Amino acid sequence: MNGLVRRLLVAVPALWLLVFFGLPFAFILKVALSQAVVAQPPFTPLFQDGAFQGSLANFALLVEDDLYFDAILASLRLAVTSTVACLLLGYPMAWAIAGTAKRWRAPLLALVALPFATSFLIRVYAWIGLLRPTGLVNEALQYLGLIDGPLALMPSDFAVALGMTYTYLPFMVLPIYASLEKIDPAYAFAAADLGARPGRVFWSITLPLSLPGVLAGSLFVFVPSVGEFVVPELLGGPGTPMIGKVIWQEFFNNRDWPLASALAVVLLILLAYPISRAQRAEATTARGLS
Amino acid sequence: MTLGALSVEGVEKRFGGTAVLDGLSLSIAGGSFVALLGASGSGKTTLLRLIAGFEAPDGGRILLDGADLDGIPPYQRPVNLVFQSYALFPHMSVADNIGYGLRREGMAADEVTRRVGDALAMVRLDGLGDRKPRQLSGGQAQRVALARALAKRPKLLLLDEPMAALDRGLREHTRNELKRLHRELGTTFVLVTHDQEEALALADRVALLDRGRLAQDGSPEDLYERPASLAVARFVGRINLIEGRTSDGGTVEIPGLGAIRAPARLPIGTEVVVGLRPEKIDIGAVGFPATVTDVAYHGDQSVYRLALPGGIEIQASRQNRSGQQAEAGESVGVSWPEAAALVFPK
Repeated sequence: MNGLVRRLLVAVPALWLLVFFGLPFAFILKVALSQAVVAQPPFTPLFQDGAFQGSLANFALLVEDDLYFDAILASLRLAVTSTVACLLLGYPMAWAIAGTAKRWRAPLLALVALPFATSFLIRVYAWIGLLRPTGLVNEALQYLGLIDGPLALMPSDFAVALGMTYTYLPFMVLPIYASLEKIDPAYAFAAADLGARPGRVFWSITLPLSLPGVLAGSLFVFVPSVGEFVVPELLGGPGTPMIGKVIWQEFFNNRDWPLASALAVVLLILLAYPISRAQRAEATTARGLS
Repeated sequence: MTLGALSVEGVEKRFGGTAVLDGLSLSIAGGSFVALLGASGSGKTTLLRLIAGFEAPDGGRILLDGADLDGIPPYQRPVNLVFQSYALFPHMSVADNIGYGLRREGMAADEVTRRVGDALAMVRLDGLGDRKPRQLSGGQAQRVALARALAKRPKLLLLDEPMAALDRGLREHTRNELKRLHRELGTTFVLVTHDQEEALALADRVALLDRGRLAQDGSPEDLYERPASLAVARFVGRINLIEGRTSDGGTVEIPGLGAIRAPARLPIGTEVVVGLRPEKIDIGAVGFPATVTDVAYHGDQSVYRLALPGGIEIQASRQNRSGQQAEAGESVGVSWPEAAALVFPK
């Protein structure tokens, strides 16, 4: 009975992963190995007359053309920027919330999550209203006489990083808060008792013990940031496109499903590596802490 | 004079509207082993946090070797604390835990290594320096916590319920270890505990706290044999309590039982409670007639439940040096030495 329940409990997420990740990914992989044709569906079958027709031609093309490499590099750069920005903003927020009286923590956490109550698209559009040449920020700065003409705040990489930082900040704050909140306050007292000043207590005790939360938060921000499509589409400049946008263009503008699929596969492999590393690190620290 | 003399002078501490410490005064001689004993809510843990510097008193002062500790943050006090949960840093090895406080003093690395080794040897954990706290047993973790606090060579060591997390078998051993360390180091040990047995067995002085005040301060024997109040008598050890009224000639009139001789310096006619320790009561042929209603056999001793005239129920414990002294249902005589009767105003 107990074993059956346990097996069922494991089966549910496993089934979920299979249906919503495993099967779609298998399909994408299949498409990535085929060639684009003007037909319905717009790719060649993998097997024809019993013979395997697949090839790695799409992956070869990705390596040949600098456009894709540059797009991946630009995406990684912007994702790292937003992750670092989220960390620098989110850690102090989480730390402050964990440090307040218990009755204030739930309302403050609710405030952190409050933006989710509004549609993501509307929130990004709101940034356009703020950042565009005739937007609130430029108008205000001009009114105050701080600038003569409008600043080119958007479209730009800056605006994209800002938008992504804003969007993903809660994903950084919540896991860091969770790990800070779990730390036994006795550790900080013990450190102080042994002669550590408050700054030293933070660096030698609080920060290392909250690293699992930092790691989880960074992943929650970094991974979706790399493939982010909406924010660069709305706030981004005409410069190097991000990988999310390139995939979109290959799919819908060029109708080159196989190439887009190959790009998606490459992106997934690139992201799977840091995730698995982070999980291993987390397992190690978790063993150390339990 | 030995260092580590602590003087608590009229200390007050309020949380919200309630006074947790209500003008508490206490002086602890340097090099002594003192137990702060009290039930939960007695203020003993608050006093400990005040001495360690985690809280500031609302009134009064705390002096260590004559120097006021007011305004000195915990990281500068020559006082160290062994936490109830031990609070060993989980991400550091045992050696790094013990060396943590030494490195904060800016000590050279090789000196830290030497002192950590000494501290490990002191608690008999040589060779366990590379372990992580999670790899230690409860008893080992406790000794690491002790070593970590003692490595700093504090003038005063605070111990917060150090045996609470240990199983019974280990406690006896740990008690002996604590006594040995205290003897060897000569540091003032202040033990906070709710366990009176632990306080009596370990400390050479016990300060009993009751609702933020000092109920009694004396040797373990003082507290047990000469409790200053009914509250102390109730808290320390087992005791039979019989209600009565003082009468002339050093007697107390017990309704239903008659007059018993009991030394009391109270006006005649005062409502009192007479306290009798179970082991002071003799069971034999002479004395008040009683019926044994129940016998609880404990091996080394037996506890007899006795029904006296007037519906009075008392317990007597006798050593079983030559077997049990009575059986349930038996009629016996009950007596006690006059000095054994402790009289408290009601």
